Amino acid sequence: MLKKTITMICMLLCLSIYLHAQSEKFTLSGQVRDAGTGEDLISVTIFAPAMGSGNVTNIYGFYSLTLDAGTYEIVVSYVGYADTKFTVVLDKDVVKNVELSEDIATLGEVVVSADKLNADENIASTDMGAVRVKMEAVQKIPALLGEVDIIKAIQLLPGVKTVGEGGSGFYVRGGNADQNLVLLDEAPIYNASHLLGFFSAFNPEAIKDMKLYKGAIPAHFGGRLSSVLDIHMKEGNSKRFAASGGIGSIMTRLAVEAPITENGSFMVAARRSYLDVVAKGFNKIRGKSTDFDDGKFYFYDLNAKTNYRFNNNNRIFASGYFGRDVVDLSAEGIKVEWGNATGTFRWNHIFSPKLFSNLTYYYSNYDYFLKIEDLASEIDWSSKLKEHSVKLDFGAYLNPNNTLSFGLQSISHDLSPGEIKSFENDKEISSLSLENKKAIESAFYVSNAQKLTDQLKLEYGLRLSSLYNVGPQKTYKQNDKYETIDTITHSKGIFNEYYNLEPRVGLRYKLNKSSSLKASYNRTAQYILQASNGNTATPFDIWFLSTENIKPQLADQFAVGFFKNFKDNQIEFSAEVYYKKFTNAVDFKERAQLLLNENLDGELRIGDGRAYGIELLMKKDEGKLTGWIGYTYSKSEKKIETINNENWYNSKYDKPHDFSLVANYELTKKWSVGGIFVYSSGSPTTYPTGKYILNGIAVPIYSERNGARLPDFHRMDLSVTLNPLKNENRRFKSQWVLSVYNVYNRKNAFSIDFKPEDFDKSQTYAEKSSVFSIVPSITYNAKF
Amino acid sequence: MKKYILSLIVIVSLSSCFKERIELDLNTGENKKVVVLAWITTLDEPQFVDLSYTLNYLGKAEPEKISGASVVLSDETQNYTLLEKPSEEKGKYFLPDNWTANVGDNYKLKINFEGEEYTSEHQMRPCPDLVNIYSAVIEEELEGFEEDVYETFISFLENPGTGDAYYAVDYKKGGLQGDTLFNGGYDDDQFIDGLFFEDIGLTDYDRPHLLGDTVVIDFYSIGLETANFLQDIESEIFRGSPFDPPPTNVRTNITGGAVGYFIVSDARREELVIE
Repeated sequence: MLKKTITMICMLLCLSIYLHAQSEKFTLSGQVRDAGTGEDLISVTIFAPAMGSGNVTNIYGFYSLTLDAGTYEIVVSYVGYADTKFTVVLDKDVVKNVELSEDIATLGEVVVSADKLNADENIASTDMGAVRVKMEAVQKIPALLGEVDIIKAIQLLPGVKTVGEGGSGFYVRGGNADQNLVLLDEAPIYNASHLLGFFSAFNPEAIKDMKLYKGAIPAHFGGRLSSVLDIHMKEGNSKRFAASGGIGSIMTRLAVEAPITENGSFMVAARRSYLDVVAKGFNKIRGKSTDFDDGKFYFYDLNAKTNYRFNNNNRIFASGYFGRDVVDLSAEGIKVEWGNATGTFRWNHIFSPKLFSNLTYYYSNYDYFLKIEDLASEIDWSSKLKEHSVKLDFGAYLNPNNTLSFGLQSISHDLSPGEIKSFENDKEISSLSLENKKAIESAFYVSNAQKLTDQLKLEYGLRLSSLYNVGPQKTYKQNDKYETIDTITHSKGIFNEYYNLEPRVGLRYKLNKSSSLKASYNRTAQYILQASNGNTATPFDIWFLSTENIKPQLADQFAVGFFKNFKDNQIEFSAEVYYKKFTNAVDFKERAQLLLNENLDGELRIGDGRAYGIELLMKKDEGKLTGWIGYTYSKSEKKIETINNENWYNSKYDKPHDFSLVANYELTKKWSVGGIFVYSSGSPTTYPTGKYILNGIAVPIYSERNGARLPDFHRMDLSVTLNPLKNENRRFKSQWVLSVYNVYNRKNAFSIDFKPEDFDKSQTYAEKSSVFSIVPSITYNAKF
Repeated sequence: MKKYILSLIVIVSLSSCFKERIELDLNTGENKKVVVLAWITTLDEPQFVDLSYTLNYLGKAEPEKISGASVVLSDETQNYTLLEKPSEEKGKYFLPDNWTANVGDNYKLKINFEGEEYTSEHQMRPCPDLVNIYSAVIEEELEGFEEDVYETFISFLENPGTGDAYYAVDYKKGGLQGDTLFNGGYDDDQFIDGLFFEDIGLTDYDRPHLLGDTVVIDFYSIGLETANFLQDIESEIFRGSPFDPPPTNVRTNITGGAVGYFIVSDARREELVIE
C-alpha cells in the first residue's frame, strides 16, 4: 500500500513537470498586503474569471498566476476585505502588488457578495482537517480572566481536546501533546504555555495569523505525528506608527509597530503578569493566608520582529521571542525559572515570477533552572534543550494548474537533560550531570498541488525524513524484556540512523459550486518525545530523542470529508471522518522514573495506538453574528507492552463526545456580546476497584487503566464588549471587555482523588478537585 | 523533590482550587481476590499468615477472612504447617511453637485454597545490631504539646553487599506500633552499602515521646524487594497532585492471582527509657 502510494506520487510529480515544459505563457506575480497596516495577507485569492484560473498568496503574501498572453480582468478577494479588480495586459511577465482594504460593510451588515471568490476556499481547496483562525475571531471569544488566548481558541475546534480545565495543552485526533508541532515564525516552541499551562506563550498583540493542521499535513511540515500549529507574528505596520495594548485582571500587554523606512517595519510586543499580587490580595480579602504569601510568581514575554525589503525580489525578516516564568519563594529558599527563547531569520528571494524561495535559519531554546538554598548550602539544578535549523523552501508556480513546492531542512538537536550542583559556603561540593544528547534531523520534500479538472484537484507529495544520533554518547542495550544488558560508549560521529518516507496525498472532488468531497492520506514520523507521565505537563518534563531502543513513532492517517457552503458562502459546513494508526506508539512503564534518569529508554514501553472519529463543524466568519458550532465523536486507544495486561486502553485524552458553541453578536456599533458553551465526556481515569488493609492502611487495587471517567465537563462563558462611539472618528480606539468565565459556576472535576479518613486510615473517601468557579474579569484594551 | 516544588507552585497559583467530598459508586462487581499478608519475623511473639478477601474500596468493612486453607512455610531444610487456632480469629494461620528461624535461608510459602495454589518466596536477610540508641529533645514546637517532647535515634553497621533494606519504627511500650505502617520508615542500602549508618531519627513528630516513657524500637531487615513494595504503597496512598503518574497496582510477590506480600525478616527489638 505504502509502496504503491509512493510510486504513484513520483509518477504524478514527473508528469506535472513534463506538462509544464510544454507550455509558453506569461506570469502575473506580486504581493498582496493590507492597505491599512501593510501586513502581508495570507491565502488571498487572485482570480482570472475569463479563464476560470486562480491562485492564492503564500504565507509571505506572494502570488503568481501564469496565463496565456492576453488582456485579463483580475479579481483579488479575501474574507473581510473589499474585492479589488484590475485589468492586466499579459504580453510579458507582469509584477503587480495589491493592497486590500477592510470591507466595512461586511463587518457590520450581513452583506457578502455572491461571487466572493475567497469565501469558497472551504470547498475549493484540498485542505482537510485544517483551520485558519483569524486573530479578530480569537479576540471576540470570552476568555479566562479576560486574557485572549490563541491556544484556548484552538481547543474549541473539533478534533482538539484538552485534559484539564484552563490548561493550554492540547491533543489532536488522538495524539499526545508532544505530537503537536507549535511553530512561531517557523521556530518550534517546546513549552507553549505560561503558569503551568493556564495561559499560552503567545501574546495576542503580536500574532497576525495561525493555522492548525490536524490532518492532510503539507509535505513541508514534519517532525510531529498529530498536528502543526503554524503561528505568524505581525510584520509591523509599514504605513504609520501604531500601538495597542490592554490592562487586565492579571496581566498587562503592549505592542508598538512602525515603519522603519519606506521598505521596512518593526513590531515589539511585551506582557507581564501580576497574578501573585492579585492572589495575595484575594486571599487577604477572604481572610485566608498561605505560607507562600511572600513569594513572587509571575511571567513575562517579549516578541519582536522586523522586515526590510531591498527590492521586489529580496526581503529579509528577523523575529524573536523570549518568555520566562518565575517562581521566587524566598522564604522557602526556592527559586524556579523556565521559558523559551527563539530567533528566526528569513530571506525571501524571488528567482523569477514563477519561482519563490525562502531561506530560514532559526534557533529555539527551552530551559529551566531551580535553586534551593538555605544559609550555608545551595543546590542548583538546570536543564536545557537547544535547536538550530536551516531550511530552504521553494514554490514553483508552474502553470495555473500546478504549483510545485520543494525544499530541505536540517535540524541540530542538542539536549542537556539535567545537571545538579551543590554548594556549601559557596564552594561546589558535588555535581551530577546527565550526558548531553545530540542528533541531526533532516528532511527533503517535494509536493504538487494539481488541478486535473474543474472538479478534481490533487495535492500529493513526499517527505524523506531522517535522524542521525551523534556521539560521543553512551547508550544502553536492552533485551526483549526491556532490561538493560549492556552499556555502549559511542565515539564522535553518527552511530545510529533512521530514514522514513512520508507520503502526503489530498484529493478534492467538487460536486457543485457549493459542495465538495475530499479525501486524504498522510504518513508522519516523529523523532523526539517528551518525558511526561502525569495528567498535567510540568516545566520539568524534558524532551529526549529516538535511539536504537526507541524507534521513531509513525502515524498513518486516512480521512474523508464532505464540505458544503450555504448562503453564498457565508456559512461553511464540514464533516470529516478519520482513522489514524500509530506505529511504535509509546507509553511509560508503571512507576517510571523520569527525573534525572540517564537511561530514559528503559522507562518506555512500545506498542500500537489507534484513533478514529467524526468531526462536524459549522462556521460563520462574517456578519453581525459570527462563530462556530463543532461536534466530535472520537476514540483514542493504546496497546502497549507490559501495560494494562497488554490490552487496549483509553488514552488519557480520550473524550468521545465533544461539543463547542462559539458565538459573537454585534448588537450595535457600541455593544457586542459573545459566548461559548462547551460540553465533553469526562477524561478517562483509573479508579480503585478494591482494597486490602495492611497495618492500618488501605492498599488500593486497580483493574483497567483509564477504564473509568470523570464526570462530564460543561461550562459557559459570556462577555460584553463596549466600543465607545467616540472612537469612531478618531485614531485612538479603546474598548472595555467584561467577561464571566464559568457563568453558572459549575465545579467541573479536574481530578478525583481518594483520601484516608483522619479517624481511621483504613477507610477512604473520594474527593473532587475543581480549578475554577465563576471568574468575572474586566479588561481595558486600546490601540491607535 | 520535583513533586514538592511543583506542589508549592500549585498551591501558590491555584489558591482558588476547590475540593469537595463526593459520593462515588465504585462497586464494579469485580471478582474478589485472595489477600495474603505474611510478615514473619524473628521477634519473640506469635508469627502468623493472614488470609482474607479484598474489600470494596470506599467505606468501612471488615475483611472477610479465609478459613480452612492449607498454609505451609518452608526454609531450605524443613516444612512447617501453619494452622488456625480456635482461640484466635479466623483466617490467621500460626507457625508451630517449634519453628526456628534460619537467617540467610530462602523461605517458601505455599497456600492451597478451593483448588487454587498461591506461592511465594523471600530470603531472610540478617539484621544488623543496633548501637548508640538514645533520645533527644525535639527543638521544633509541636502543636498540642506544652512540655518537652523527645525523639529516638539509632545507628547500625549496614551489611556489606547491596540488596538490603530496613524498616524501623518506635512506639510507647504497651501501646500499638502506630496507627499505620507509615508511622515507621524504611530505606535501602543503595547509598549506604556496608557503611556505618549513624544517628537515624525514628520518631514520627505526630507521636513524640514524653519524659519517663519506655519506648520500644523495632528494626527489621526486609530486603530491597519489600522496600519497593512499601514505596509502591506510599506512591498510591499519597496521590493527589496533577503531576502524579497513572495509578498502578502495588506489586506483589504472591503468585496465582492473589495480592499482598510475603516477607521474612530477621529483626531486633530494643527498649529505651526517656530520661
